[in-house]
Amino acid sequence: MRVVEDESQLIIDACQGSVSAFEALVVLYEPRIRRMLYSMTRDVQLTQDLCQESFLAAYRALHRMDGEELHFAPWLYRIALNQLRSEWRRRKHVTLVPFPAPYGSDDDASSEEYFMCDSNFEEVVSECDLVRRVLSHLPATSVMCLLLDAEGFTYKEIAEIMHDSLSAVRSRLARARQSFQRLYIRLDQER
Amino acid sequence: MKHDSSQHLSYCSFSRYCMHFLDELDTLYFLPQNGLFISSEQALHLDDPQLLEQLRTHIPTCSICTATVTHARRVSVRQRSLLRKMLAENEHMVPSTNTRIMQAVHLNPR
Repeated sequence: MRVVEDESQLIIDACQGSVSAFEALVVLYEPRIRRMLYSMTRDVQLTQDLCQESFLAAYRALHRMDGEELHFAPWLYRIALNQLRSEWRRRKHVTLVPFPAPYGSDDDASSEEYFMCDSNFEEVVSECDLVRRVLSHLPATSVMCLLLDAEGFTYKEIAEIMHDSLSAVRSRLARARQSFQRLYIRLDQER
Repeated sequence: MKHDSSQHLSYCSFSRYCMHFLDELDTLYFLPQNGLFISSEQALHLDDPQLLEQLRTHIPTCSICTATVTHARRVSVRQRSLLRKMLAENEHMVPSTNTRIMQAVHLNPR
C-alpha cells in the first residue's frame, strides 16, 4: 500500500503527540477500517464500536512507536483485526451472515445518494450480495486475506497484519481464490 | 464470472506453483507495469527465488501453465474488482465514526 509524503509526516507528528495529525490520519483511514470491519462482522453497531476501539488503541500506542519506521497502515489494520479477534473470542457467536441487512437507515442520506447515483444499481447490489454470500462460506482468515489483497496490501504487509509467514499468505490466498471462484459460480447458478 | 475451460486442461506439475506465484511473476517479469501488489523491496524477501526463476523460463514454453496463468490472472483481477465493489458499498452501510473516535481521544489523553 502506497504512502504519500504528507501522510509520512502525519505519522511522524502523530507519534510525537500531535492530536491534529492523528485526527487527519483518522479521516484518512477510518473509512477503510470501517468497511473492512463491516465486511467481517456485517453488524453496524459492532463495526462502529470496533472502529472506535481500534483507533483509540492506536492513539494510546502511537507515542511508543518510531514514526519514521512505522508502517502505519499494516499496523493499524493489525490492531483492528486483533480487536475483531478479541471480540470473536468474547462473543463466540459472531459470524459472517449470508444475507445483507437493509441498506442504511431512513435518515442516512449519504447511503441513499450513493445507491441512487449508480446507474447499474440493481446489478451492483445483487453482485455484492453474491460476494457477501461467497465470503460467508469461507474461513475468516481467508476472507481477511482476500480483503487485504483487494485493498492493495502487498503479500509482505498481509503477512505482517495476519502474524503469518509470506509463504502461508501466498498459499492461503491461492486457496481462497480457488474456493471463491468455485462458490461464486455455484451460488450464481443457484440464483 | 464465467466458468473457464482452461480448468480442464491436462496436468503440469508446475501449474500449482504458477498460481501461487502469480502476483510475483506478473510484477517481476510478465506485467511489471501493473506492479501494484508486490514491491521490488518485497521481491528481495521472496522465499524461493530459484523456483520463481524456473517458472519464468518454464511458463512461456508450456501451454498448460500459460493457460493456467492466464486463467488465474483473469480470476484474481475479477475477484479483486468484485471485492472492491463490495468494500465500497459496505463503507456506505455504516455511518462514519470519526466524531466518536475524536471525542474518545479527547476524553482519554495519553
